[in-house]
Amino acid sequence: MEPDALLQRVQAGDELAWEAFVRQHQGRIFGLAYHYVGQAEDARDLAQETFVHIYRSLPRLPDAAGLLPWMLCITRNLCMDYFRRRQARPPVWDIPVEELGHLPADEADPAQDLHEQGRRSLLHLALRELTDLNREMILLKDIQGLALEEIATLLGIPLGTAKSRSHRARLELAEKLLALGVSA
Amino acid sequence: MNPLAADMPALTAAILARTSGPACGRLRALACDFVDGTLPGDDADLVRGHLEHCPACQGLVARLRTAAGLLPTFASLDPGPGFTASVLGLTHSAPGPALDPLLEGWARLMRRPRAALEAAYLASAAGFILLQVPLPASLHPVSITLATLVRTESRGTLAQVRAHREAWMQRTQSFLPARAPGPQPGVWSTFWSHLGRLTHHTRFALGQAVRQMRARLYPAAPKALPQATEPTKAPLRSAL
Repeated sequence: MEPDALLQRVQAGDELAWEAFVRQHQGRIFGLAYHYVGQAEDARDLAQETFVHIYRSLPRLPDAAGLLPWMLCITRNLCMDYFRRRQARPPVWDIPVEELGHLPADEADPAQDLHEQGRRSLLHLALRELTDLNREMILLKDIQGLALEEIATLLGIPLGTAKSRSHRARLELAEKLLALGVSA
Repeated sequence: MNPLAADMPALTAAILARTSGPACGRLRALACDFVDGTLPGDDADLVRGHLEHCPACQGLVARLRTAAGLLPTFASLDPGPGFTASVLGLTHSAPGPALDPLLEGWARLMRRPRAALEAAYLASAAGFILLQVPLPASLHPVSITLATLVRTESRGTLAQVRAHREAWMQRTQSFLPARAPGPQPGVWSTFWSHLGRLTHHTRFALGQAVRQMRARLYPAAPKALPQATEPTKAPLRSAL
């Protein structure tokens, strides 16, 4: 079903459409929350809270193009509230490498799969070594795929600042990958 | 192959070292756009030319490509089998979208610190009014103890507030310039008199409200008026 049609049905109160909507977006929402808070249980609670918030805001949902940034913004705000409640603890990235089995793998060949899994684990290690600012920029732009304009709006920073931060973050990540010996 | 061609990279490096220096810094500024494919054609050609001769920059660009390829796969994670059901359960029990504007507005209002403080102030004022109402005797002893504790604490807090207010007023008056005696009242004296009148009216209105509430809460137990204590008249001197 087209995203716009699904949204219209959701707004009309179709429960099946709402279920499809939740299934369609839960991975992204949970993924963002998980990368922010680093604990599956808390991330699950935050993702649920996000969907309840979305459900309460159904009459004011943005269009399909702006939906994902809007939902990610809600998730991020809830994560920030979570950190504020937990006495301004900075985002943690203590996701154990073995838990990265959550990540979808498209490779059918087991050897290739293992190789990719190793590269992903090293990439994750490199991400953990980034500064908080750079990590958040990678999370929003390169992982979640938000546009720089959307990130600038979300973080309340000028577009030029968002762009330069993104460049810095990517370069820092590439250097960490080089240092970790990740194959190209 | 021309044997002299093997010396060309070294020659280039030597020339660059004596002129502009290595161009790796410039490449770092363009590398992300190059990997994203958003670099204009001429710049992209220059970057490609540099990469052919610089292994360090080749490695950097290759890792940028690796990260760009792998990072999007981190976006979606499986929250577990029961997640959808729990969300549907929560949203089923959550207030529907029809009630949304009111609840949302209230929640947003309460998230604002100032609004929360104002609400706390109003609640304190209401508590102060309610504190004047005597507790019914049928109340549970624990509730009476709790209410007494709350009253004691509240009175202490109110006393502190009064002390702070008086100190603030004294400090404010000490900052004011000395007023020259004259028949015209100053701005501050007018302000204070208006404020006093307003406070008086408010207290009067609050007192009335408390009296009405008390009468409504305890209609069957009117307070017994004290016996008339008219002083006995002294006997007339003529009667003595």
